[in-house]
Amino acid sequence: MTDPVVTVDNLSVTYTVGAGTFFAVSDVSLEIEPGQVIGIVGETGCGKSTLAKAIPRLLPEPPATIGSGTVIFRGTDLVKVSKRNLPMVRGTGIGMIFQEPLNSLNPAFRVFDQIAESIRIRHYREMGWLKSFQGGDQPFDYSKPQITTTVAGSLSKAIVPSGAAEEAVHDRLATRSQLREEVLNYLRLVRINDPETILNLYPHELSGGMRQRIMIAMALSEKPSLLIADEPTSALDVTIQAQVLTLMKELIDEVHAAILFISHDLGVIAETADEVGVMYAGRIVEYGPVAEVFRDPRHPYTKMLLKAAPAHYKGDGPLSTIPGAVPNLSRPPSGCRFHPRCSLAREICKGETPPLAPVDPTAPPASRHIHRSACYFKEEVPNLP
Amino acid sequence: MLRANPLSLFGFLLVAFICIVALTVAVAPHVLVPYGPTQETGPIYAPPSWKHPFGTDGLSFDVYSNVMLALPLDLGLGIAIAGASLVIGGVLGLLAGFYDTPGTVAGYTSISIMRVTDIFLSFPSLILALAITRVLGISIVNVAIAITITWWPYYVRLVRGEVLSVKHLPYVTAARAAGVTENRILLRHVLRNVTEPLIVYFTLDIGTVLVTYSTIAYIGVATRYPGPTPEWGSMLAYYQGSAPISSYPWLVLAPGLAVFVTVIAFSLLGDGLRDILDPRTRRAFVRGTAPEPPAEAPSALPAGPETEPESESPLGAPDPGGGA
Repeated sequence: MTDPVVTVDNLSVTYTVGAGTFFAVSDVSLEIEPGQVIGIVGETGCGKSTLAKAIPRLLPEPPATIGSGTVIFRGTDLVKVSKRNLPMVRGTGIGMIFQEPLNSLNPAFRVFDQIAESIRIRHYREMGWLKSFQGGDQPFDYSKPQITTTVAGSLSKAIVPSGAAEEAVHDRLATRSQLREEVLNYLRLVRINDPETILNLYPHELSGGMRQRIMIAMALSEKPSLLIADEPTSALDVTIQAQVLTLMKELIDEVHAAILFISHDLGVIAETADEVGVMYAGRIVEYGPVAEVFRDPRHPYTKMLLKAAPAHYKGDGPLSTIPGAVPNLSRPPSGCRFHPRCSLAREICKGETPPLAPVDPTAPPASRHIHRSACYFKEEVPNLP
Repeated sequence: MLRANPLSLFGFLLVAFICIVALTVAVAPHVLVPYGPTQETGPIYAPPSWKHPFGTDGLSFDVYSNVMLALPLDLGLGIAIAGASLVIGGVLGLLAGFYDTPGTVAGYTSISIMRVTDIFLSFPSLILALAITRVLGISIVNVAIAITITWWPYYVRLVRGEVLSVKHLPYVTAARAAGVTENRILLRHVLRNVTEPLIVYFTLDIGTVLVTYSTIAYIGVATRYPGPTPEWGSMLAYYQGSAPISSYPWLVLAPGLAVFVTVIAFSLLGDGLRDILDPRTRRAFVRGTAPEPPAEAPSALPAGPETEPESESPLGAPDPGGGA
């Protein structure tokens, strides 16, 4: 068993807005191993994006507060890292793709400068000119070509055209033309036609899909060991969506990165992720291997969510919906947060929060990668209509 | 590159012309200035003629020479005062806007900067500048210092407001996520997006400063006229009182026109700069260097008037979007 890239334990994030406190993320635990794609799915406002930004500590603090929990990234608790040192973790350690393609590129910079900045950061860290760390108190030694020498396959050919990977690491950015060549390679990597032209354009001259791909190129160009993708495909049409997903999967094979994939699209998650966590009102209510969770959901919310997905619509009568609305997270319901909308709810659901426990009672309760559900009546879920 | 907007081009040319004239007057006055500031030329109250383009006054001084001699001083003061305010206010505004986490040292610094700014802004700047000049003693440098003291708070407000609106935009978060340090985010990502309104404001402000300085001089709390260092405001004040305006209108028209033309030139330039500095409209002005649109251009470029100038500007057609 390899060491996990990141282990999130009982993470809680609250927002203090005026006099109110919003419990955006409550007691979320996750473990992501190298090469894994973990999907997080849930409705708007369930805390997905907050969770995504809380891991690299990108939430503005205040108003956000990490109330409790730990985020262990390569042996270091990021919750305790000082703000000064956080930039060293980001980019090359934890990369991120955002969901707003319109505003996530600096309008004042050409595409070249946007991507070149990321490549420079990685390069400077590789060369030891910029401090960086990948965990612990030890600065991460990028000069040991942990990534570049292990590469094989299409992606490395795209990134290092000469093939002489190790030499290239040190000489690659010696001149501007080499930097330009590397930027071009990343643009080709995200399937941008005519990259030489795109290189000199400003973000406002690009379509939403192109901007999204530029952003993905930026994140990939830092070769992060954990890539957090916050709805990276929601602005793209289906064909490009598929390309982007393929691309991200290639990245995993290539650099053995782990991906945390946030989406509200069950189809995208089913296609991309190895394991999925279903979030509701700030909590993970069900977790497990994608196929198991989607074939045999053991939480009433997952069941209803799957039923409401248009892909399941059989053409008989109205599309099914989940009655009620997402609860106000400043006053979350007591006990199980889904109980006001749940047909299985009984007294115990109102009083106590159900733990995220294995569906299979014989399974070891400690394992984080088996099918688990936070419902007291998980055996009854399959019988729901 | 300013050709798409005739008024901006006019302003740009006018500013360039004014600056060249000012430099010439400062370096080699005899080229453009026939008489000294207090040189008697013979006729008094001579109307405008080829020899005396703006006539002469009651002491037979050449008005044109005095207006020209005042140009480097007035222009220099405008640029120096606005520039000093830009630097002081800009730096304070960047700090106050970007490092404002409540409860930290930076947060308290930010609050302090803003409260001091508020205090300065609560005084009418002209009156405050007058009072400070009185305290410091009347001289050109002291007036400049006094105006600068009252002027920088506007830049703090402007820059801080811009920084606040920029620093929460997703691209700043994206830069942070890419591992860019806070200081570098401020200097590279935020500053670059604040520069554009700042430069436009600065350009427009040069005119305002000039008017303010002239006003102080007009009231009489600056250089004396007639004297060795003529200044438009004091010229206006002196000529207004020395002889009936209706009989000798050129005396007040000459310095008044000089102020007017200079201020208008910078205003037009400021408007033009706004279009040039904004990357979203800049492309429309840059001819020839714009790369061909990509193959997937119809979907890649935003619909609307912005897409037009790329193909139109090489033909010399006016910009349909930027003319308003």
